[in-house]
Amino acid sequence: MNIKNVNTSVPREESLFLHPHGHFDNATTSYPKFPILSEMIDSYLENVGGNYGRTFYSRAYQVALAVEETRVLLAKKLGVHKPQNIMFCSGATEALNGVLRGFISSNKEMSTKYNAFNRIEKVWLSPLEHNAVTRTVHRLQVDFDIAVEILPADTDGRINLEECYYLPFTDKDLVIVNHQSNVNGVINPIGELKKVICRKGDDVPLVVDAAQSLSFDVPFIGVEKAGIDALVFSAHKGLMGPTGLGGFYLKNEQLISEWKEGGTASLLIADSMDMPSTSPEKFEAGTLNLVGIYGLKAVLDLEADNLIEGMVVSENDRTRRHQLEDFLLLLDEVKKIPDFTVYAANDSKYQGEIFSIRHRFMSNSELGRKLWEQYNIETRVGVHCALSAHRYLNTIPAGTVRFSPSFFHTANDFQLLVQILYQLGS
Amino acid sequence: MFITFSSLRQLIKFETSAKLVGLKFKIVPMPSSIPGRCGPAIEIIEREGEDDLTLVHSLVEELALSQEVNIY
Repeated sequence: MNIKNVNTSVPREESLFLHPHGHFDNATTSYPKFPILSEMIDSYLENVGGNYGRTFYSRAYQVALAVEETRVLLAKKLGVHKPQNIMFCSGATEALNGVLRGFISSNKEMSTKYNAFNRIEKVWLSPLEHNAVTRTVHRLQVDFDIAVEILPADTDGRINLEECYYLPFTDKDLVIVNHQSNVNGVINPIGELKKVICRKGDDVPLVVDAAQSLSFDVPFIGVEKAGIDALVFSAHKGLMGPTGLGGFYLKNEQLISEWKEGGTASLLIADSMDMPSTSPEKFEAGTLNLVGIYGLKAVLDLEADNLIEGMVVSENDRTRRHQLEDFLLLLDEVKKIPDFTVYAANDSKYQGEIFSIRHRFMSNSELGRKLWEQYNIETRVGVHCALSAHRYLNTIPAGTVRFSPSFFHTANDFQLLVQILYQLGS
Repeated sequence: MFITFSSLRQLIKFETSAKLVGLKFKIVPMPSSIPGRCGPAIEIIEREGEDDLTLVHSLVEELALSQEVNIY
């Protein structure tokens, strides 16, 4: 990508993004998706249509295979040896609600049953947490009288490990960290954090929200190796899957209790009123989003290069259309535009593909509206479901205009975006 | 001969290997003689002149499924 001598008077017709290349709101949900996603969803609905684990006929068995294969693909992605420790649910929000409630309420009220940890008395959060974490923790603070503290961080909100090193973590603490901020794209050091919080010998549980960071085509940190106790993911963002599906990894199924009861795919205890005690069945009451799982599997199979011969078409080419360097160059160029304040990582080594801006004079809503009405550019405007992050970054109450490119954006798209922002900025 | 499993993953693991060693089988409903359970089980279609029971036992052992299956 070469962004030099930027022409600040690009005629409107040349600046128009063609649909769907104007979608810079992939942190909300990724778009477009690979064609194979809808093909596989159609195929499930038209040709398969069975439920998971309930019965024996071939369509149902085919579904069981597909669900378990998807679990295996996700386990490989996350560096997890036991695929049964990956659970599906309706999304990252449900997973975070369940996991956090599980850790905090289990440890208070069910410690005699599970005895995995002592009662959790304090929760530590990064300053950039999403509302799915902060609102849940706020509720649990009221219900269970726990203390809540913010981890020390740099000005961009990235956790400062050196300062964390001196904090008195114990096994009555729970640490919850956002892997990649949905406001400024800052990436937190989840690989090193467990060692730091456990340095005094206590096993301090670490929960990671990877909703924004887990991507279908980019290698992910080895979750098991990093000692992470629970990690939550969403299917419809970087994994390029459908909405309504997410899940979580749990190091040990006995760490927390289940948060819902119902029918399961267990073959063992259909005559018991208790939920199964083993994962994933313990956490998968009710019918799973099988339509979604079929779609997600299709995308993860793309990564595994496991497509049936002849099914790969150019639209399903799994080569990302830009490099991280192209994105970082885009960010550097946006920082040079007068009158814009850019919210991003202080150090580009810790920058994910999300950033926010504010204009010195123009309101966020006016900027977002102009981007959409004049240039077909889709952004997110305001407070991005992360009140805590906006408070930390001092962008309350107006929030920011957020840009989060797609897998399909090219370096040329980034160049065009810079030109447009120059036009608007001036 | 019926084989029941404590989870789907174990059934799938067994089924995949059973194909490779040439066992003939069907995925069937959990036999009614095993009360209070549901889901799929495996029925081995025994072949004349073959010691399928021994083959099943060795497969179960090889896959470390002995705690997870019942053979009827």
